[in-house]
Amino acid sequence: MKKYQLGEFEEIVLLTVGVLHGDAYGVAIKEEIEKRLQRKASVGALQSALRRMESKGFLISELGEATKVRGGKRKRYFKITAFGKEALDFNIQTRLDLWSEIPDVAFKFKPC
Amino acid sequence: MLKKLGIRILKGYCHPDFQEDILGDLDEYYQQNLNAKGRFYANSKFFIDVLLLFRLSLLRTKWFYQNAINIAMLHTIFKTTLRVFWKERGYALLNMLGLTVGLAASILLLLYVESEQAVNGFHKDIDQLYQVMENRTYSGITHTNDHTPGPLNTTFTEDFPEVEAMAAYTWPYDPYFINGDRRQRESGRWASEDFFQVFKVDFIEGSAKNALTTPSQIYFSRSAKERLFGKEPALSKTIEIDGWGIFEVAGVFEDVPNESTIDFDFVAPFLRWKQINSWVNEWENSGIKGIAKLQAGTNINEFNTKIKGYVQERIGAEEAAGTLFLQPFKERYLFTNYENGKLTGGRIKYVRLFMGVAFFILLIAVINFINLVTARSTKRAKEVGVKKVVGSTRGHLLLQFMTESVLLALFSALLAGLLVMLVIGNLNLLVGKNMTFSLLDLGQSFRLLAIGLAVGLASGIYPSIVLSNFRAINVLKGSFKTSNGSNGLRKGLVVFQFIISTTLIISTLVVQKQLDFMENKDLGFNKENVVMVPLEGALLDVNIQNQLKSRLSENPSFTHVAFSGSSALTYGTSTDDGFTWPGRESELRASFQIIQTGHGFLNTYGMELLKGRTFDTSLATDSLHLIINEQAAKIMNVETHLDHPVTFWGRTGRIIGIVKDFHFRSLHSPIEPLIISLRPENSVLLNLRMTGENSQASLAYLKKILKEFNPDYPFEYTFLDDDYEAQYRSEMVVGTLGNYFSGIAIFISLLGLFGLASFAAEQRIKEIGIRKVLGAGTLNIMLQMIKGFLLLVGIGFLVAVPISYYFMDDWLGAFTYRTEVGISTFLMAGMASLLVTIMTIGYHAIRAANSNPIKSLRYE
Repeated sequence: MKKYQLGEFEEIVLLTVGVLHGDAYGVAIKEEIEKRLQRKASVGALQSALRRMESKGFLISELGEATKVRGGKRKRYFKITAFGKEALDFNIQTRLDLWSEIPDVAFKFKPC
Repeated sequence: MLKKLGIRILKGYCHPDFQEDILGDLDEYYQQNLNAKGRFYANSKFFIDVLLLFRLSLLRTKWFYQNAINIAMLHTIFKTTLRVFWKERGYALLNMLGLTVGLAASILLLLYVESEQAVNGFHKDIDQLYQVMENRTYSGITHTNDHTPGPLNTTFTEDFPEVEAMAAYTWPYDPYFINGDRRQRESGRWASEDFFQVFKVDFIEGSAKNALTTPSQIYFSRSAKERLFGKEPALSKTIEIDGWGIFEVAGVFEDVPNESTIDFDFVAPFLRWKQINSWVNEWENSGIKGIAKLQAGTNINEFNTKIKGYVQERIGAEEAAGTLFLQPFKERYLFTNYENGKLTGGRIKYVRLFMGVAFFILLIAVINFINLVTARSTKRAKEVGVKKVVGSTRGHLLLQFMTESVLLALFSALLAGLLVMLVIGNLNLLVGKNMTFSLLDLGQSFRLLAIGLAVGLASGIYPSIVLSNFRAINVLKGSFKTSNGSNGLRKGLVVFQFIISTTLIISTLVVQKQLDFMENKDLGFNKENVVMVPLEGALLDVNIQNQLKSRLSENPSFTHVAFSGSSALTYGTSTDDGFTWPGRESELRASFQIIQTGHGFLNTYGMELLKGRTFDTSLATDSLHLIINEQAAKIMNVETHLDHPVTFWGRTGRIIGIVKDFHFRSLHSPIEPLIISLRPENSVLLNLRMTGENSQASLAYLKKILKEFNPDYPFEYTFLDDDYEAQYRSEMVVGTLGNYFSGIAIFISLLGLFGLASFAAEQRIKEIGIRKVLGAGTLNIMLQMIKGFLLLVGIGFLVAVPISYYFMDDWLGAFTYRTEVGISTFLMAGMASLLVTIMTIGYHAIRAANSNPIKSLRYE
């Protein structure tokens, strides 16, 4: 359990990195999150989540080629590791398990 | 701009591995925002993002680490400091003692100075208030005082638009107030209508409106009202003033603080007073005081030029008229002395003096610190060397030594604060003030801290630089000696300390000498055993006075009894052309002081008659005749004074006697010409000479007799010698304060010397050992030890002599009758400092001389 500790925002970032496979760098991830979830994500929160997950081993990163945009500064591309996938699987599986365990009565919203 | 700042900040904290891509990302947003929302938004967004990026996971790892080093450094410094204090606790204690005493003394002095400067400051619109002063010139000498012509207060406001309000008021007057059974003496003033426009007091009952326009109304301070009427309101109640009739209370105002040159517990209308004192309506007669409130922003110098000829115009140019000028009321307390029309100072001299003393005492303490630390620098040299080798920077070492001195100073400041709290009550008693000091007062403790910090920095800076300057290689090689330079500096500083403290000692001795001189000066009369009782009520009647006199004469302990209009020390009145004689030149301008007496005045005071006789009870015509003093005789300039016809205030008679000059005023001023006239009807004072044996019983007898004659009045009396001493109160305060603070100065200097001596003894322990082995005697070694220090103290003394002579001769110049500085004073001060120096160093010298050479030399 402890092994796969993943916060809510971290999970979203991790998923988005997966979605953007091959093109997952800071700005793109931020825009993707904002588009899909319709919420603001601050650079600070995103960057710290990325570095945190990198140090936990869910992500790896490498620097891309220098381009003229961005003042000649290279982008850092993130990729999910196998361990990251395990964490995601674990997270989703535990949620699905919980979901299926809910008895039908719980969803009967008749007025009593 | 904001972007650049943002980049710099980010680079400051962000881990270098992450900087490039994060900055790139930020740049990309920046470009987007720039296109979409404009430069300002893009810039601020960039900056805010940078601030929000300050996250734990993005920080430089070293960032924390570096600070941890600094914190650890501080910790070490602090710890070393405490260890050094402990290891050298003797010296630390000496230093601290010096600093504590020095700080406490300076703080006390500064509090005193501050409270002196605050006097008069509380009056509302103080910057617009001016005392009207008058210059009068007699025989080429200008006399300045605060007497003004009576009608001035009505015309001044009309003639000068700058004058907002102008009030005349009298000198303090303290009659009895009678409210039913209550009889109470209160002190106050008669004052004209504008008085409350000038001095804006806060009214509790009634108001300043139409105040003092009705002759039978009176105003009280809150405390006076409570004494006379109790707690309940007093408005519209009536009260009797002894001798003046019934008055109605028209107002009660909040008490006026004591720290003022004007004090009043009641204010009564000038109109009423004028009915009796009609002389005040004449322009020629100056006597009452005047205070003006000028419009804000009036140029006082221009105004003073404008009013220069004002009085002359009123009374005609050939008359002797005074010249008016205004002095800011704020300055009336500190600047009181005028010499020939020029302001020469007053209490401000003492205020400046004490500020100087405070500074120098602190300086002595700081010098102690510098000397002790630099003297012991050889001991710390190895520490500095090792630290430098291990990699300490000069900054670190500076920080360490500065921390030591600042910590010590702050701790001393705290102790000094406690000490001040402890002794401020005694100082208040001594100088008659009401100063407060508390460490709990935020403002005061903050200032204490600031002073402590300043002293710490000032005393630490030089030793720190010297110590941190040591070169590791020299120090650790083992052949290290402090340079002669710092040794010389130390000697110079010791000399400087002793210049200051010896100057203070000499000055104090001179002040004491002058006080003794005044105490023992032959005044021309005998001031011992004379009792004076004010005459009031029934005793103002001449017949009753005569009965009283015969009753008192029955008791052998009263050798002389006389009634008079004033005592020998106070005189109320003077005249110029009220006193004439055949042959008086018309252009002669002179001021003759007047004493009006009954019979027996000269004998009661023990004054010496040079020629002629005193007033004779059996000769009724004697009330026409006069006795004059030598000064008056000199001015009259006639061949034979005795029996020369004279006219004084409407009575023509002869001069029947010449009395030897006596001092009827303080010794600050010369003896003035005086005439003594026999006018028993004007007596307000009973003068008694007692034998001096069993004076308690005599006083009890006096009280009993007075109660018989005057049952409604309490028994009040003063001794002439007390009155005499009261004139020199400020000199005596200076004398006492001087005693204490010069004592403190020399104490701190000696502390420093003590420390240096013990250090020298330690340094020369081997030398002394060798000397002893070679046969030197105890005395010889002691002499060796003391010689160097005595030289320093001697030089200090030699420099202090001319400095203190210069200052004290100037101070004595304020007295017309004065002692000389005198060689004996210098000798005494020199002997004293020599003695205490020998005593201070002697301890170490004896110890060094008696030390066993085996112990000091066994490692060689």
